[in-house]
Amino acid sequence: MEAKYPTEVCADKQIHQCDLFKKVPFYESYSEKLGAFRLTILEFPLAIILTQECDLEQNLRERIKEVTAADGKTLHDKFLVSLLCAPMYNAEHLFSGNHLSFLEISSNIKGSEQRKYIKDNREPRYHYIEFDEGSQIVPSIIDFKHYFSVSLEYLEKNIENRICSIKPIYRENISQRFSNYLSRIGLPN
Amino acid sequence: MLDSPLLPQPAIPDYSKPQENIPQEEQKNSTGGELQEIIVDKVRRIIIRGQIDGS
Repeated sequence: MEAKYPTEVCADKQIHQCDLFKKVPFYESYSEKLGAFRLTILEFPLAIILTQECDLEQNLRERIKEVTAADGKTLHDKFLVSLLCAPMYNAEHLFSGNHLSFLEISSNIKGSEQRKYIKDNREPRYHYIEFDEGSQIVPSIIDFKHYFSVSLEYLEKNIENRICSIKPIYRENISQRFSNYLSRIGLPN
Repeated sequence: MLDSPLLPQPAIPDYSKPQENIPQEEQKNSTGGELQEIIVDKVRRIIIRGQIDGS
């Protein structure tokens, strides 16, 4: 049986590694033509922050201090361009291959063996999570292949969209599996 | 009896049946609030068009 992932509700304003946010946007494309613009946004109903906790903490600490550099500009050595995150899909939607159906995309339907493999977290691409009873979130799957970036400023301005945060050790487990996935070596077939 | 679970099994909801989308208005009125959104929502594409000069 898989371990239930414990969560906590953070009341502070710092974004943490493995915070769960709802309605996270990814700005997919922007174009201009004859004075008109077209912007497409992917809105993920649930996403998890994968940026390292120390980076987030140091960034905020530096901004609070507001140190001025020798040239008169604001010192911001720990500046973050954006945060790394990954979508969390409803596990049953992903197993059924229809989690991207609103984008007119279908995925492979996962068979029973494949589902068990994913649920046991033996498939490097996915991370299956069942949450503790208090969080009220359905069993979900992080798809590491779908990682994207989101602006820190956006998340801080929409901090009310933070649902909860996964507790330490569990979050390090997710982070380690993500880094393992990114550093895999694809050998020729 | 060898196949019986040693520990009590968690009561996991059955999502094997296709989930139907709750209409937007119904979501707003639902007392389930955020939980309802988390269960039914899928990633969606939003398209915004406009004039660069803001007109």
